[in-house]
Amino acid sequence: MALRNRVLNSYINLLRTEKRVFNQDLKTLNNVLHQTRQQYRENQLVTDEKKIEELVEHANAVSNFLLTNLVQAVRKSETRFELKFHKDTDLNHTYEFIGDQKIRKKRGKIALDESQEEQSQCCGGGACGTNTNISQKCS
Amino acid sequence: MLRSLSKVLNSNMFRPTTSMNGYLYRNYGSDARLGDKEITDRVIEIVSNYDKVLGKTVSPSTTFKELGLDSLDAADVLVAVEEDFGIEIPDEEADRISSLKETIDFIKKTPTAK
Repeated sequence: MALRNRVLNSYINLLRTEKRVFNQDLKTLNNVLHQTRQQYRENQLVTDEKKIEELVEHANAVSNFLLTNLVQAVRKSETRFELKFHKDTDLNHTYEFIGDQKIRKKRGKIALDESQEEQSQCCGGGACGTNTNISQKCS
Repeated sequence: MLRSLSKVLNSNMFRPTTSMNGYLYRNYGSDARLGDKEITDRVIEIVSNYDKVLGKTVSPSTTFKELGLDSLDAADVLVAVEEDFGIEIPDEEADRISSLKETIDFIKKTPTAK
């Protein structure tokens, strides 16, 4: 029972984090939420407790990473981006700017949608790398 | 498509109205809490808009299970509720909540809900 709750809590936690860090970037947010839901569904039938523990740990690590190591860059003009730091952002860090969706970098993805009023992209040190499928879907 | 549109409409048009209400209440220095009816209506709306619930009848006494929602779906709904009311449901509470009524009751006793 306790393990079951930990799974659900990790799920809630991850969804919360994603809604927070991908705030307003609806396209990326929907992709990420979809990916999360799908992966939890896929692993729903896992019965090995050790494996479940590992998956929960992984989900929590991803959540924590997104929260601390991902900064949204919102394009304000042709040459200017506004970085959105929040209270959990780890500032003792060098961030890699990931600004082109077509050239898929090894780590990370971006969401550049011409139709969106605010174009935002994400730059982080690898959080996005954990969600490789999303990036493929984006591009 | 329509659903995403309605979400955009929800966030851009309806929310400022509700927060405005909260603001006015606060101005009068009286109870800043949301009315029971408003909480109930908003919770019903959020649940009704959830993919798997679309088209089903939702009432305050419905349980998530009756709507065909499993624990992951329920978690999803709770996160949507959190987002809408600007609150965070503690883990222990989230584990316990299994119906609309319990969700509504939790919001009622959460003064920061807006």
